[in-house]
Amino acid sequence: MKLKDIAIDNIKRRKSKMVFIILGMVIGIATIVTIVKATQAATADIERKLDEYGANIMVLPKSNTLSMSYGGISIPGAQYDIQEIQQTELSRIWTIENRENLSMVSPKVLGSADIDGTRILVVGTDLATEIKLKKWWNFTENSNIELTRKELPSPIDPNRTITETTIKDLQDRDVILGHNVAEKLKKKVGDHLNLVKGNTMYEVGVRGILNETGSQDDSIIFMSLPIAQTLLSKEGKITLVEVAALCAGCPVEEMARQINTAIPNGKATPIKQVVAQKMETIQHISNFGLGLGIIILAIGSLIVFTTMMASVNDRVREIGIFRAIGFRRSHIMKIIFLEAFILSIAAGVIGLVIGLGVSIIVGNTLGEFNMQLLADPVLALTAILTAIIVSIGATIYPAFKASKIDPADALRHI
Amino acid sequence: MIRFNNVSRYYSVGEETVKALDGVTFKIDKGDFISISGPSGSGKSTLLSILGILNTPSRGEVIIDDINVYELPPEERADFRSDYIGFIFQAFQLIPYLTALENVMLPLAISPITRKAQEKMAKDVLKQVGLATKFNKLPNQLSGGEIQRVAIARAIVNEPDILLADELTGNLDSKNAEEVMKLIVHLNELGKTIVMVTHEENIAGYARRNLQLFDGRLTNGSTKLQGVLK
Repeated sequence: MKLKDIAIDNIKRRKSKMVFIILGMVIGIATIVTIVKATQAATADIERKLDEYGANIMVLPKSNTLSMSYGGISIPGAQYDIQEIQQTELSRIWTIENRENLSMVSPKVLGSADIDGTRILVVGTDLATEIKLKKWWNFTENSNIELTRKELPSPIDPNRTITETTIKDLQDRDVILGHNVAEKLKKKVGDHLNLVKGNTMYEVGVRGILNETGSQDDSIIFMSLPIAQTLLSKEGKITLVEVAALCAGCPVEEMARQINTAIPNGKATPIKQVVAQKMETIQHISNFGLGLGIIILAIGSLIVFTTMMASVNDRVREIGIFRAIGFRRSHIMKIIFLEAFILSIAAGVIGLVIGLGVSIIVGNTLGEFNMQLLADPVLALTAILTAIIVSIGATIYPAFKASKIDPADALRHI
Repeated sequence: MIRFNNVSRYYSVGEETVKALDGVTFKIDKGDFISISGPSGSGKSTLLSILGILNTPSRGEVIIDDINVYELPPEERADFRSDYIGFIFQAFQLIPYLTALENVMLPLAISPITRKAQEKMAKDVLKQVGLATKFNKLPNQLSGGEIQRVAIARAIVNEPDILLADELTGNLDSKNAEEVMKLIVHLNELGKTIVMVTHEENIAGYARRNLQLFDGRLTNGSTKLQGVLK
């Protein structure tokens, strides 16, 4: 028989009280785990979307004031058809101090054009670059785009990957149709479109049709930059520039500042700033949830404290006997702490499992996050350590009180 | 050897001071068998608890084997108690949720002895007190006499030199009381020093000497008893 056996016997003997202690702790731990997991998933989801979106910086003409949406993310202060960046200025982007972090620069011209009697949003850009940027694009089966994508380790951040995209034989006269555009114009791959500009007609070929993306890309016709500039009478002008940086953690704010200096007419905005509000909302919810979890844990620790105090008061006689047969004060404290320790481990593990379960259910039903039960040793360790610290903390006074029980007094009551 | 030198223990009750023990001096030789008797409130249990290093005297000194035990730091007193003293209480004081075997193993829980060795030691003493078939019985499954024998086994399992017994037959019928006292006498014959508090004359008769207490004072010093071992 060892002290731990005495502690375990006590736990077994006071099952209902111990279940009460565990329950208080479990609710607190489960709440915190749920909130942490949900926040992690929401943050990862936004980061994933940001990564998928590719461009980390959007460069817009400085004077634009109206808002527009791109990639499902609102970019304040943009209005096309009003003012453009000069194409000749763009080469300066490659001169910024952090140019080694630049992955792609994709200038675009935007405007609406009458195509086969329908007003359609035209985006003129380098199609190969655009396909590289839009990693989530998929083309219909018969699309004539030989596209290979390979995941390679990022040269800057070894924990991340970059996608290397190879496209074969794209021509200046090739266009890519959004899903809705193809349906509206009743065009398929290989068909031709006649683009009319005044008395001049340009014939372009449909090289690819996008599978439905659910974004504004479905309603856009993508074509080469020079053709679009001519069609929209914007020769040498750029509506916006998407800049892809090579890493998620690179200094995009600093890069945006450098681009602003390099292109005085443009206003470079890190996409991160655009999603900052989303992140802030998540952070607020997370803080609220963590606060709630801490309050529940505080209540849990109070339950531990009162139950342990009651347990010590119930066991005055028993502790008196222990002391009479030679147990030190430290032995008594050790028994009480061992009980709290065992219970807290149980509470930590149960709270962790419940928290993970709830986070998956909540994440997959209420949210749109892809919650998965992934091994997270840091979270597991933190949950169990939190339970241990709270339980042991709440048991300090009861254990101290137990150790101070005077055996002579205790045995006098025998 | 145990020496009580002018030991007093005072308690404050409201504004009054009660002298539970008042200047008690005596000596007990190694291997002696002493009974302490006296009316209720005479200080018998206080004397026993002071001797058991559980109750610090207000005055005087208690010396066991040349060690002034109340000068030891508190944790060392606990160690000394564990090494030198075994307690047998009137109300048995077994832990109700532990079996007879586990109750006897309890004093060994703080020792570095392995669980297997503990079990062997506990079984040996339980056999010694005649409970070879009751290892796994809970206290509520045992008779009064058996419970007291488990308590005796627990008191001697770590082989202390001194056994302190407080009214150890108080809750037993005469037959069980006799059985228990025979066991105590046997332990004394094996060399244990025994100090026993009792108010029963026939039980006191088992001891070699009797200390009579009245109002916290020794009234007869150390009387050689005429009682015969039964």
